[in-house]
Amino acid sequence: MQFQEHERVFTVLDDVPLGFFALNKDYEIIFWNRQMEYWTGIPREDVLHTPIGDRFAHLTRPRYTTRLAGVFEGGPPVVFSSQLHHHIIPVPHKADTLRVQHTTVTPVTIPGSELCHALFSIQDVTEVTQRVKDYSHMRNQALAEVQERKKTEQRLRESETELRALFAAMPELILLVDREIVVRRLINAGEFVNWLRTDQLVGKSVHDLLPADLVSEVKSAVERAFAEDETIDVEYMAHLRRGDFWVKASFSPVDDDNVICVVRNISEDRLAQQRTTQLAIEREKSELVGDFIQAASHDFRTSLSVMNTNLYLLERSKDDEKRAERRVKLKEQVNHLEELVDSLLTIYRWDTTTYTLKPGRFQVQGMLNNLQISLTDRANDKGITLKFVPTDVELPIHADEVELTRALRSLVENALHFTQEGSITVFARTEGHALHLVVEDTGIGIHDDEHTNIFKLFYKVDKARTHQLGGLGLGLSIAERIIKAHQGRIDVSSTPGEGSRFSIVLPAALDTSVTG
Amino acid sequence: MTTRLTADQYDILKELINIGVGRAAGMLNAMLDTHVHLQVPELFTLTREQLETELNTFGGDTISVVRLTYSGGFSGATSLIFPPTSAAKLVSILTGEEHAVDDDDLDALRIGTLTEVGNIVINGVMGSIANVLKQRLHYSLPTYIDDTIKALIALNRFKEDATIVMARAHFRVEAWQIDGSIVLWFEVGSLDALLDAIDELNRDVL
Repeated sequence: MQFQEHERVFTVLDDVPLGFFALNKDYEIIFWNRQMEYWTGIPREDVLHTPIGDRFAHLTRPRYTTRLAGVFEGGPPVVFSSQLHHHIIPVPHKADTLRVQHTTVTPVTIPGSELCHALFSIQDVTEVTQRVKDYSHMRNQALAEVQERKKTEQRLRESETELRALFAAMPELILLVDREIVVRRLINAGEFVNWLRTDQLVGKSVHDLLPADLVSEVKSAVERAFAEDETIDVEYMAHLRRGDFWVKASFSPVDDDNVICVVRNISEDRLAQQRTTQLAIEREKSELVGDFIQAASHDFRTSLSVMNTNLYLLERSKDDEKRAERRVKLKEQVNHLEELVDSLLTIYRWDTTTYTLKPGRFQVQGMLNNLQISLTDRANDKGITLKFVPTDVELPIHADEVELTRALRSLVENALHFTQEGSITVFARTEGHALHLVVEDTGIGIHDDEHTNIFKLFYKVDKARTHQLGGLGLGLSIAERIIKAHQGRIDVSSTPGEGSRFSIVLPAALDTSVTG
Repeated sequence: MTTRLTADQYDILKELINIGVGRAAGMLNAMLDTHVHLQVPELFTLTREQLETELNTFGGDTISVVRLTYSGGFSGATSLIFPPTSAAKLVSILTGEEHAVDDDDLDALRIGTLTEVGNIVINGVMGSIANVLKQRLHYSLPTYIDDTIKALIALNRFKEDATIVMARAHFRVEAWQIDGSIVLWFEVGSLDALLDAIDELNRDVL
């Protein structure tokens, strides 16, 4: 179908990049521009003077016709927006989508004709729509993110408030400290606000806050906390405005550069700990004193009982020989009681602070000779060989001769007590400046787990009570006290059933100021 | 000096606008699933200054306007005016958008939608008036403007003694109450021509 002559006026719209078509009052297509041909693929010749309803039936429905009616009367233009009418003429855009259109319909009167036609002008707003939708989507997403961030911030503010309230109730000083141990932030002043200017801590270095001897300890704690990614504690005495406090500082890494430092006042803990320890010591002492009195009483009673019996027999006996024998027995018990009292007094002296050593210079050999003289008879009585090896220690030693002799005697007497046969060897040797006084026996020996106990008061390995000399269980205790007072120690090595070896080690006893 | 309307003229003009608005509401309802109810509760004539005072009661510095001008034997402009929030809200409700209710900004697509709504309402009113006038006018394309009240009034280039007829309408879209005003402004002589036509219509009816 061709244009009627008067309709040819529309062809000026062929070159405009918008879709144009015109309808007459009967809804027949009287113009179809090139853009419409391109969009729909329908040639103008095929649609001219055909009803629009044949191809696009929706345009003949009241939704459109009621609005278009005025246009055919020369009324105002009509707008079909893209949001309310996506497609006036549905034309494909991409595979599954149609072009989005904004359409304006204006009345057009052709010169020389009274008839009014409706000219549809279709603008392709597909791209704009997509951009607006993308923008809208992005904006909505951004708004949602902002909303979410606000909520998160609110939650953070709430939890920060809670944390602050929690911190406010905590007595600990909490600091954020960097690798250089400079205070970066004060998180909580705690009770320390009473003792130091916590508000002036930020920016201060460990060097400003602690004495030099503690700086290296704290530094190494922080280094360890970073290296091991663990909380490291340091306890130290802090000298604060109102006195000295024991504090415990815990360093926990929070990131690669900072640690949280929590400082707690542990003075009361320490005091409580000390009290507990003190109480334990007191309790042990009290138990020891109880044991001591029990053991001592038993020994006193035994001796007194023996003396009583012998006195009775001495009074009744007419036989001079037997009376002499009783007197010897009585003398033995008196000696034993003397020894016992002497030992108890020695222990008392060592356990109080009143006792001080009376050091002097003497030769080891002299001490060994005296001991040999006083102990050989007892060894012989028991049938044991007591051997004092002549010493090659030529230097004199500097010590309290009486007490050192007492200590060595205790070791030999202990050996005599626990050796039933065989021998006891006593010798001295040097090792650098140290003097070793060694007592070896072939006695019953001591189990490893008894090595510490044997130095306790009244401790007896075999639990047997005896009133023989040394049987009190005080000898080794006394010896240990004496040697400790000389800054020395007693080493024990033993094989049960084969014998023991006690070594008094005096690291600085040799008097090197004397030559020859 | 404003032209005073007689009681009859007032009633007939109000009725004409009411018919036009009613037709527009019918079209909107047919087009959309939402039920749009339009009513014209008030009609009054204003001077330019009174219009400015009236528009200031919309509660904002700026207003959104869809405007149609016409010329020929009868000249003037008809505008549909909304406070910006009402405009945005109306578009959101009509298009079923979720997010835009609290959003004053109108993008290109939503401006198109509002232009169409304005176009329907204004065409309804102008259809009624054109029927009475029995003259063919030359209409511009409807345009959307978002500007200050002062700028909008300046745009209309009102003469000192221009008479402005304002119809304050309420749009009710389901539960939403949206305010809008239809403002008719006629060139000197045009309102008189309209009133003459109204009087003639009145005589015919009587």
